[in-house]
Amino acid sequence: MTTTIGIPILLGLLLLPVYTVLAGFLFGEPRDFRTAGIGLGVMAAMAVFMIGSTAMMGIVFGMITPF
Amino acid sequence: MSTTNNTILTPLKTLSVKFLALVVVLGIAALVMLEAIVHQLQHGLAVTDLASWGTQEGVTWGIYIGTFEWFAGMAVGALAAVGYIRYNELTRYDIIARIGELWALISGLSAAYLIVIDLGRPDRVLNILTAWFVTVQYSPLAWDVTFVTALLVMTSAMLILSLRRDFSEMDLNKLPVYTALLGELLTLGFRPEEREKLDSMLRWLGLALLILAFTGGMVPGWLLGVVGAQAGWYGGIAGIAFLSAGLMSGVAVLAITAGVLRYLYGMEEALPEEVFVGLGKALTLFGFVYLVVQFNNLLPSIFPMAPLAESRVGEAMLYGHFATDFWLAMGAVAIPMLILAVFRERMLAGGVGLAVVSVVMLWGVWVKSQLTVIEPLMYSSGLPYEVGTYVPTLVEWVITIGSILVAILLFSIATKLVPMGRLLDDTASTEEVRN
Amino acid sequence: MNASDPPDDIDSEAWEAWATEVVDGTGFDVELGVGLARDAQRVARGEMTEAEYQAKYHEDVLDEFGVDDRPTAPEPQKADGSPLPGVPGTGNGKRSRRSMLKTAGAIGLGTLGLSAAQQSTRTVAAQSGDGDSESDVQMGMAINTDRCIACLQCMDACNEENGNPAESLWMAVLRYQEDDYTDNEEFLTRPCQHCSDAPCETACPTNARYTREEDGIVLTDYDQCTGCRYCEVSCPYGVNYMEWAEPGGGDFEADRDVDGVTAAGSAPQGTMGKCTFCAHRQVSDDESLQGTTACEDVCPVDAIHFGDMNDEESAPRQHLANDTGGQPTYRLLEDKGTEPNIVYVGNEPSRTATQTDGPTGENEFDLVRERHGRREIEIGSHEDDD
Ligand code: SF4
Ligand code: SF4
Repeated sequence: MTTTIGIPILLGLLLLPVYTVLAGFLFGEPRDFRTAGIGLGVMAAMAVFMIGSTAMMGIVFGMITPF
Repeated sequence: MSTTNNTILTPLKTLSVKFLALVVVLGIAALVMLEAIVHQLQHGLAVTDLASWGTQEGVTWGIYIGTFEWFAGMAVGALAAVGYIRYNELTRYDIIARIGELWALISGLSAAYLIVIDLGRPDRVLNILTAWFVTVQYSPLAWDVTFVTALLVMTSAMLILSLRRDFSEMDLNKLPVYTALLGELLTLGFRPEEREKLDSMLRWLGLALLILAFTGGMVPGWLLGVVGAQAGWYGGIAGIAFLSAGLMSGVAVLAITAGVLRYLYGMEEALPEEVFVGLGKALTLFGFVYLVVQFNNLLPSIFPMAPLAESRVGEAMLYGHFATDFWLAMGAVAIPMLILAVFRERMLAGGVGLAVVSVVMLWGVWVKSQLTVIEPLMYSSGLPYEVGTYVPTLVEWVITIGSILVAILLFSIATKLVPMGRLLDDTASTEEVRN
Repeated sequence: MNASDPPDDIDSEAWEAWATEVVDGTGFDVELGVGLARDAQRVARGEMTEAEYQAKYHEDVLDEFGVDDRPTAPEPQKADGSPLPGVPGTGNGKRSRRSMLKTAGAIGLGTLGLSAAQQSTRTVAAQSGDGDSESDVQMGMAINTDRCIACLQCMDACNEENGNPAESLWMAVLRYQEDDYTDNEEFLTRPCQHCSDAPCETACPTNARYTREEDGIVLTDYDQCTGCRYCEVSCPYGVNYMEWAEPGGGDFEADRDVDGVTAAGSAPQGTMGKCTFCAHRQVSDDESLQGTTACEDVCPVDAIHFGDMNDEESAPRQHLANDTGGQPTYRLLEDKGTEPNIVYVGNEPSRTATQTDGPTGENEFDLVRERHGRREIEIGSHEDDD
């Protein structure tokens, strides 16, 4: 049981800010799903960008690393 | 109000020889560091002085990880400051929020790549992401990766969305062309009705950043705190210790930046003295909290009732091998903190004094981060192993110091690219803010 | 009570009367007791299989005694078929990859990831073997340090066998002294402890460190490891050796492949190596190699005994049962909660034991302590620091 403590940590702790943003953007006053959508889109795009650039970094490093 | 705020655009609109010289110097430093990184990639971690603890009598994690912890802390502190300012809509501190967004992003990125540099197979960094679905269930390092990613995503979202609002209030034609282009891009499809919603979204994002700083912000501390094998790491205070160091260094880096900007660009109006009073108070408080937490962390290990392993680590710190570094580091936090507390008025006038003490405090936290990481590995306990040694090599120093200089370079460039805050010379928006 | 000579014919009235009298004396259910006894006789004569016997009486025994801990009782099963944790004999797999994946699946994450497919390969390999992947086999060692003479042949044999560089001492013999007014030098033969609750696995962010389900050996997937060294800092025993440089050791001749995972032999540059319990021998086609390790083979005083710790007949269990010579037995740093699978015979080093100078193999063998490129190590040179 102790070894899967990561799930509560992930869902209950690390993702708290994401829930806050989702709730706040979508249901906060004034309601405006277009702007909220832009905001969430920016976040999604940045997430993809961060993961993508990590992958790129791995590939570039792989070209330099001889082993 | 209409004229007072104009100075926030000064950094954007000027381009001095001094600045160019700075960029050139830092650029050269960056190239040297790049060379060191390539060298390390080609030869592997053998170019460091790291070695296995145990029979090889080395330390397994060295200044890369120590500096990672330092940068990650700085990011957390900057993040918390941004969150606080944006959530409470402290308009006077708007410029501090922008500085904080940039620093949180830059130090988060620095932390992220230092971790990658520290890998034996940096080309396999993607493995950490592809295995994430399984490893996040148990590996604190997977949590850490999650946290750093969340930090980068949310900070950059904050930066982009706040810039969208700020650009929308500016006359892009009056800005340098590349800034105008950036403004164009960020205000794509902007409608005036959006502003109110954007304000509200920035508040929510501010709240989210605050939450992230005080929850996920402890994860890099837990990375060490859960390791039962290492006395000096293991324990319930690790997350708090990391967070307190982070809050202090985050505020310190904001204070340095604000002081330097004001000094260089004469931004007395955009950065009034009360902002420095606020930062100075925060720094005094967080410095004090940091020292209290450190004391709490250390006391049990040096008290006569301490278990052997802990006491070896504690004693090496207090009066053994690391005593000089340790006391210098503590002094570097305590003395500036006391000076700030006693001579507040004189220190804060102009911001330069605050910047100087902030540099000293940041250095202290950096040294202590190194000691925290290195020491338990050096003074290994349990089996009859010898005390280890560690003298970072040139490559390690170049990459570490380089990472700090590159962070400064990135920030310097950013000051020429993005406005440092909200322009309030438009009567409409000024009134809006006052409401 | 006259229970001496039961009649031969278990179906006869005389036997019934005899058995009734015996069981009656115990105060338990007579009918059940007599039935158990009769059928036990049938099993002994081969008229009934053990399984039938167990099945026939399992519930009755539970009713009567509350527990059924007859040595051959069927193991209690959880609904999902896995043995309950903590039941003696389940041995390894305290945290199997399979249960990990189940949890991932349960929260809907596993289905999303590349990782799930990628990670499950070794589990699938294990499952397809016999349908019951959580095997009872837990490889381990009994190491008699009382016999050890610090000839260092195990260290040398290990590095030869696995093609390790001189500095990667997967097997290390530590020399130490206790601060007890005697000059006795003692030795600690220290391979990886192949822990059942291995902190190195919990640390690993790439899932490269894993327990092989068939026999509980802890291995590193060299293709997956990123060399972050979190496993090394979280292992209390200091048995992990990162390959900092191009290993440049001897050749590793056997196959590196262990059930489709590159995990045997020396670690490639930039990845983490440690004792594999000669995994390549355990999966070898050559049956004479299975169940052996290089260090065990070479030890001149028979201090190392390798085998299945759950099998009473295995070499380590036999050694522990018959050959300890009155020496104490212990597991190393047991308070760390790692559940190591090496049982030592001899004196346990205390926390204040100090390493003593002595040959570390440089002269005789190709073994060194210091990492390639770092300054030479002198034992005892740091005493002022302490
Ligand atoms: S001894 Fe260390 S490396 Fe070996 S299984 Fe235990 S924790 Fe892992
Ligand atoms: S060094 Fe390799 S095996 Fe060890 S924790 Fe890191 S990725 Fe896992």
